[in-house]
Parts: sequence; structure tokens; C-alpha cells
Amino acid sequence: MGRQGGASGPAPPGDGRLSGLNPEQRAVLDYVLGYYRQHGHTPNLRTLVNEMGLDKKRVYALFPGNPIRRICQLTGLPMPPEC
Amino acid sequence: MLRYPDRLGEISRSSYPTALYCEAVTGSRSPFGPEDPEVILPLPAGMGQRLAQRSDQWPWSVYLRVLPPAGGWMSAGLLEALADLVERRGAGLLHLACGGTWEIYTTPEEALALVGELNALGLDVGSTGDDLRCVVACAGPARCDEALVDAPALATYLARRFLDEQQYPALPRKCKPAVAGCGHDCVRAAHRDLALIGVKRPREGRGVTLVVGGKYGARSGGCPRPARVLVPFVPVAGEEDYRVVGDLWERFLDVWSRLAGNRERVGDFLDRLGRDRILREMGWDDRGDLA
Ligand code: SF4
Repeated sequence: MGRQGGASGPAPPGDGRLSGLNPEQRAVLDYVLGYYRQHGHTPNLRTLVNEMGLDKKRVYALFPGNPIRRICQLTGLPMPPEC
Repeated sequence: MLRYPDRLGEISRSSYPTALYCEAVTGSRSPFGPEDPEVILPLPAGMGQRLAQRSDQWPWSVYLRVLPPAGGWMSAGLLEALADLVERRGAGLLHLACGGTWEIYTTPEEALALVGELNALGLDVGSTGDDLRCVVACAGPARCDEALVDAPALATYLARRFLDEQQYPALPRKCKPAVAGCGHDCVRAAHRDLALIGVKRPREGRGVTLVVGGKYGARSGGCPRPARVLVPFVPVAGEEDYRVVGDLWERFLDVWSRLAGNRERVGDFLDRLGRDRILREMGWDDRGDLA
């Protein structure tokens, strides 16, 4: 597993990192990619949870450890500015 | 007592590696290595890793932070059960840590089973990373005739209401809360990030002052700063008033999370935004109401 992706931008389609994710995990990644396109930075966990109307515990279940770091690893997006 | 008890005596009667402690004191650098960010612990908070630089000194190890009852009481029965537990599944050592939690050192293999047994005792873990840390309180009216509010009761209400914040980190930085029963502030609420201090006003009666942004640590810029008053008075006559106090905490945590800069601790956030702006963002008006 790679470290945080740096500022290289969203993962190109077909990157092996994204295979094997379930629809719920993909929905979160899609939301984060959309947010990044719109705002130029990755959302923090609180924003993600509030805007997607998700339970924080669910996000931790989908992306164990540090969810935002894990999402950034998977998408190749940089960590949010306040992290 | 002939001699004052010795911490080294206690530590050496457990299986904690005393050599590691000695090296930390005498060595030129810390014997502890950095945490490995790639290690995913089975719990989001309440469980941390502490690695030794040399693995022969100490195998891979974890610590658990138990959230204790506010005020810090422990019955003999609970003390006995915890003693048995840390002996069977831990290093045989219980640390009443100055942050307010009870720390248990154990191995990755035992950690989850240990948490399961803690749960069976009515306890849980939390308070690590960028979350709301354990809500500490003074003894309040249970032991003190100065108490203006029931600090442990209010702290228990807040700890229960914000349990998720203590177990699922989603704050810009750690946030250490506290509740003091009166201005003597035995629990040192004024050192902490988010705190309540019992007060009494001639006409309005008893209540709490919300203070935020205490910062005394290594990163306080060489100048330790006490917390500052955010809301001077919120009436608290009894349990029925706890909800408004909790609402204030909730609004504050939301505003801080939304507007914080890069890993900005509450004290720095307050410096940057100022009290008026923060109160405006929280929707707290001059009449002392939440909009
Ligand atoms: S802070 Fe006040 S109420 Fe609490 S223990 Fe100290 S003197 Fe008593």
C-alpha cells in the first residue's frame, strides 16, 4: 500500500487500486473526487460525513484506520489542507 | 510509611521493559520510534502504538486508553477486576495518566480481547489522535463544599453525548476538555482546549463559563497561555440545563472543524479568528441564546 498520494491528482481510470471496492466505498470516492474538482482540495472527514449524510462510524468501517488518508491513498488526491 | 513509593519499583514489578525507561532518561535520544502510519489499528481511537527503536527491547506493543468515570472514582470491585485484567492480558501495569485516562499496555494479540473485557465491565476506550479527549472533572459536590455546579455530572452528560467524538477522530487536532466545579479550578480546566468552570452571579444564580484555547505544551510558542473566556455565563441550575451547554460545545466543535487552518489547535484558532467572529459563526447572540 502506497503512502499518501501527493498532489498528483485523481487516480487514472483502470488503476488497480480501485478494483475490489464495493459500491458504498466507490460512492464515497466519487463524492470526494467531485468535491476535489469543485473546490480544489479534499474534504475533511466532518465535511464528508455532513454532506453525504453518512454515519461517521460507517465511514470508519468502510475505510479503517484513518479514512481520509485511506481515501487519499486510493484516489491519489492530496490530504485536506487542515490535515 | 517509611519511604515515599517509587515509580520504578512499581514499573519493575510489572512486565513493562524497565530498560526502555532507563534508556529514555540516560540516552541521547528517545528509545521510541515514530508511529508507523501504515499500521491500521482495529479501533479508530483509544488504541495506539508505541514502538521501540530496537525491537529486542520491546516487541510491537499497543496501549489502550480507558475512559474513566468523570471525577475518577473506582470502586474496590472495579479496581480488582482491572488488576486481574491487566495481569492476564496486559503488562501488569495500570497508568492513571495525567490526561485523565487509565492507560493499559498490551500486545496487538491481546488488545481486542482486552477491550471486550473492559466493555463487559462497563468501560470503553477512546481519547487518542485528533479527537475529543477524555472529559475530566473535579470531584464537585461529592467531595467539595465549594462546588457551584455538579462538575462530574455535567462531565458525564457531555462525555456520553460526545462519545463518538472521543472514539471516531474527526477534529482538526486533539481537543482536551474539562469541567471544574468552581473558579478554584482544581482540574486545571484553564489549561485545556475546551472547558467549563462553575460560577455564581448575584442575580442570575449558578452557571458555567465556557473557556477555550488553553495551551501550555511544547508547541505553545514558548509562551504558555491559559484558556480565554468565550461565553461568560450559561445558567446551570440542574440537569435540565446541560443540553444547552452541550449545544454550545457542539456548535464550537463544528465551527472549529469548518474553519480551522492546518492542524490548528483551539488556542491558535482563537488567536486567528477572534472571539467575536467565533461566536458569530456559532450563532450565539448577545442575549445569550443559540440562534
Ligand atoms: S474546582 Fe472547585 S468545586 Fe471542584 S474540587 Fe476544586 S474547589 Fe471543589
